[in-house]
Amino acid sequence: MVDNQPIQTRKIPTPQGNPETKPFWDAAAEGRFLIKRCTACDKAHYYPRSLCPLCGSDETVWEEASGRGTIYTLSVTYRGTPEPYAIGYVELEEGPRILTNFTGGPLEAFAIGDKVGLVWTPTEGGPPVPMFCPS
Amino acid sequence: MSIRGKAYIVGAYEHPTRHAPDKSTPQLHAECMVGALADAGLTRDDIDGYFCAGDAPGFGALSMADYLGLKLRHIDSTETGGSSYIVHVGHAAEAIAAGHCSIALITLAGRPRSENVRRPGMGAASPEADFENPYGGQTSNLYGMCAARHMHEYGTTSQQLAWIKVAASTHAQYNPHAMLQNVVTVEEVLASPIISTPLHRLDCCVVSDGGGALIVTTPEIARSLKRPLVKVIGSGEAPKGPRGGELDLTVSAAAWSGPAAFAEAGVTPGDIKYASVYDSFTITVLMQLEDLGFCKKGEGGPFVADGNLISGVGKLPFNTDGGGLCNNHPTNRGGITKVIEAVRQLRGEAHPKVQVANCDLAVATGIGGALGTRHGAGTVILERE
Repeated sequence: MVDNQPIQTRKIPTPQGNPETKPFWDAAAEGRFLIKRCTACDKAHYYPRSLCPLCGSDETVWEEASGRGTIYTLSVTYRGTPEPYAIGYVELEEGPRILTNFTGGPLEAFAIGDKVGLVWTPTEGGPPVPMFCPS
Repeated sequence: MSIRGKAYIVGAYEHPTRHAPDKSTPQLHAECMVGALADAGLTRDDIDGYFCAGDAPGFGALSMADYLGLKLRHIDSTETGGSSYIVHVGHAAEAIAAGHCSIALITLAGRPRSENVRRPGMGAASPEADFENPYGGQTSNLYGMCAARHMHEYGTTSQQLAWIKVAASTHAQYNPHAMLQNVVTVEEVLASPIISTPLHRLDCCVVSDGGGALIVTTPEIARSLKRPLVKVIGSGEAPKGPRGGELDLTVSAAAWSGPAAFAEAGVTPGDIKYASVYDSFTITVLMQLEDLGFCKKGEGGPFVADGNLISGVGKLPFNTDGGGLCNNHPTNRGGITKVIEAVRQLRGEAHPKVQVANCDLAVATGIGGALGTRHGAGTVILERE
């Protein structure tokens, strides 16, 4: 085992963005976490798309998410990496389970079912990306 | 239209190399083709259909078709990662049943050991790239997340997962080509280093150079050859992904490919004498066994424990070549070796120590891509005639 890594210092690739996801990354740069909700089926989804992946409707709108959620699963990687890190899915209060990293605490302490909250993490010169820390 | 009984596997070849620093990848594909043709008793000019996936160098199937000098009337470069070649068997059977080709070649080959390449990352242009690449998904943690959730929901243990490796290693001791031929214990699996929680090094498959090839043909041509008859009687395929956040990591796409294949074949998991189950990781096997219906969802842990997958010991002999966990995982894609060992079992040509008695019905199933994000499952049911 390797020592706990309370702070994530692994280099994070810069999101490239595209016309469909530009509102997400523009908001991220302002510290606002947007998800998409479909007004036809009323379900939120992530990552954001113009066409709802759940019902197929194009009636999708941006909304600001709470940034609160629960750990659905995680895996702490110790090998093949310059430093250990925790990857997993968080189930947002709004419903979607999204891929992320868990940071801001000892990696061994994160567990399925834990309550976590959003923390923006810088990338290499681009907008920050959403990660989650103990709440 | 069903493919049931419309196609036969008449050639199967596993390249013996596990390290090929002095060969090119196209060369390995060619050697696999030659091996499968020799096994079938056919020649290159008999081939009129060709199937390959992302390991084949060049532009889809075009570069390799030209490199191999094939004259074709059907090509297919369907890519579902390591399960592609199982999917290709189904597609070849479809093409043969439709009369679009009569002798189909499937090849896989590559040199990840010699080239020291890791699994290629998610392409920058893929729609999920910006939302997934930042988080460091790699093969071990994308499967580790599934294992962690399965343990949380069903109480599955690392000891139970270790039994899958123990069974594979018990078989691998009889395979002179296997990369890892030593029999390991549950304790040794648990004592190996954690790669990505909860998976240990010995929960992971090997990295090997090499390849394999298959020849699929019509009933008439199959009967004209001098090989035991291995009939394709069912196939299924399905992709599965996070689906906008409505994901369930304890179920794989084999929950769709498996039942489709069994339904087409008209048989049930209880009829199966031998199972080739893609073992990129131990958890991959456990989830597929549940999803194919060999046990109920959540009961995979007890099902695989205590040697139940060991030939001659348990109820469901699996991966009698040693599988990806011990024998071979050529170019990080294990689908073709799953079909090859199933063909050996149905022909009665597996190693005598692991040959299943009266093996007349087998399944080969696989998961390609990443179980924790998006993956493709393929399942085929094969019968000895």
